[in-house]
Amino acid sequence: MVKEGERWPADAEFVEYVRARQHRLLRAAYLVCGDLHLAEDLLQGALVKLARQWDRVRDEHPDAYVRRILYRDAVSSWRRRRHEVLGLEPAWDAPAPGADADEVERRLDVLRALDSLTPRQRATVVLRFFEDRSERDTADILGCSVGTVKSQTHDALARLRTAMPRVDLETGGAR
Amino acid sequence: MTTDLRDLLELASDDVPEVDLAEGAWRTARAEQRAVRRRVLLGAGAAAAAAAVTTVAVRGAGDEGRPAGSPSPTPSPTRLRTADVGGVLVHLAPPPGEETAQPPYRDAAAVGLASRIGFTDAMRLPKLGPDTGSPPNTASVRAVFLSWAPDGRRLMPVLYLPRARGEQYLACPGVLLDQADFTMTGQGMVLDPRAIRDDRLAIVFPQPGGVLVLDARTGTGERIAVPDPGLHRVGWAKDNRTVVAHGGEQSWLVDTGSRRVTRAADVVHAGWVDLETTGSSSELRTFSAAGALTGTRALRGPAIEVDGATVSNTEAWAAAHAYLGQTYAGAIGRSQGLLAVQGDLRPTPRLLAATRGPDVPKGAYRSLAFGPRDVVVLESRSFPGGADRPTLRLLAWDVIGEGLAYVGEVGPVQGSAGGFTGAYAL
Repeated sequence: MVKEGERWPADAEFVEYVRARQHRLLRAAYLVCGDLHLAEDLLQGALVKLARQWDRVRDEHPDAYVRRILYRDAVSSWRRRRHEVLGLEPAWDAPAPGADADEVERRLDVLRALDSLTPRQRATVVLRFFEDRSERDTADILGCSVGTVKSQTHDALARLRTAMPRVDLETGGAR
Repeated sequence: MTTDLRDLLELASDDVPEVDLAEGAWRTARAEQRAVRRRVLLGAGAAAAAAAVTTVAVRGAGDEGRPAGSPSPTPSPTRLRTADVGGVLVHLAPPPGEETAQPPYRDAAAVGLASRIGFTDAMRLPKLGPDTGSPPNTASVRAVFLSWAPDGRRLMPVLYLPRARGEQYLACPGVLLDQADFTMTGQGMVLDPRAIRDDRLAIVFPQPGGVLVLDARTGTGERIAVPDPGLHRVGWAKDNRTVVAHGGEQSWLVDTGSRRVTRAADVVHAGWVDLETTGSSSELRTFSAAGALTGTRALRGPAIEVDGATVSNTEAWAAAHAYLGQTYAGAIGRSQGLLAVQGDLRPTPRLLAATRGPDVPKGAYRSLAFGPRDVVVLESRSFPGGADRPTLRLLAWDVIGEGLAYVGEVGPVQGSAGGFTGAYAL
């Protein structure tokens, strides 16, 4: 009997490519949508699409391709989900035993602050400050102008500062 | 004490576990591709066999000559014949008489497309709007058509609502539309592919000196004045708030929230991507969510002239009708078709080339919208046997899988300039 994995052996180059990036992409998707299960689904969906196009994109720009799908799907999915759960407190997982209470509290503060952003502002912040993407790259991935990225970044930072009044937020070093 | 935002984002996502999705993604992709092929083969076995036989016969008749490119040596029954012209992959569409023999479009139900779309008498359709006594509509609009209003002069929108529990077509007599004059096609109205907002609950129409936004829940309209008497094409930008309006000399951005109207200083477009020919070169242009131009890249391959409105999807595929230059005409004996380009990659076109013949008019194809899996749904127009009225069919072109599927017939056209039907939101 043929096992599933043997029937369609994965392309070694694809596997290597994905394994080198998947954790960072999953973290980014989580920061954009705020839901780990949804983030996994979104990344899985983006990687399936990448696999379907692999022969075509492997020698071109797979990074741009997969990020464009992931971020745009994340923005639209989170936008839909936001309407579904509006007004509900996020169901945070209980902190692991022995976790630093201050650190847990700071993490929750950041996630709550991110919740105050629009989906596109959230994606812009993650691309600019977590993925360290330039304004031009961010605009390309989100399908908007550099001017829009600048204004979204400006508005997002203002909201984050309002949401975290005790934090003196620095953004130094962004490209 | 200052805190770097980057550090905070690292901290916030620090607990995200590592999961390995690589092999699962690969298997899922391959399994999906295999399932697609299997469903198509099983579901359309007889039709595909008939199509294959017909294809052989057509080739034998030599009505268009053998492509001078490099046709596929053994095409599968569900794949189109292809040719390579100057590095551009050309899918050779069947003649109009064979369109209904193509395999059925497997996602038709999912995107709300029936095997017969349209209506014969809009006056007899149920109505939506003030003074009609109708309940509010809660179903999403998948297409909008036009019909003559009772005064025989103006146009009335008709909504196609395949998800509705009751009637699937609703006429909106409370929103009557003035026609525009078109040099090439006479009076009528052009419905932009982006006429329906992404939430499928509002439609925008061009009017002399303004745009009219139809609320599909109530059947009521709101007019926003634009200082341009020649508006002829309007659509929603991807922010679903801005309307991009094109007049004879100018384009405009209309903020439907604040009703603020701005003259566009540069090229604007209602969608992420469009295809355009300016001078001797054809380009792929990218746009922001508010419709502003963000980039331009020249298309590769032999000369081609984009001639229709562009539709695009989130994977940056764009498609539009185009006329093919001499290089194509010499190589494959075809002169028009649908052009598709992937904007993230090197912008090398793919083409669905229409046949030539007395039943195939200029502008034989119009791109309507992208369905799932990089399939573009198009409207095909032909005049079989020299008929006065066009036969209109919906087809689905798989730009990756090289296949063409049959969706269904479309009813007669009213009031739409250019002889095509409505705007679709799949």
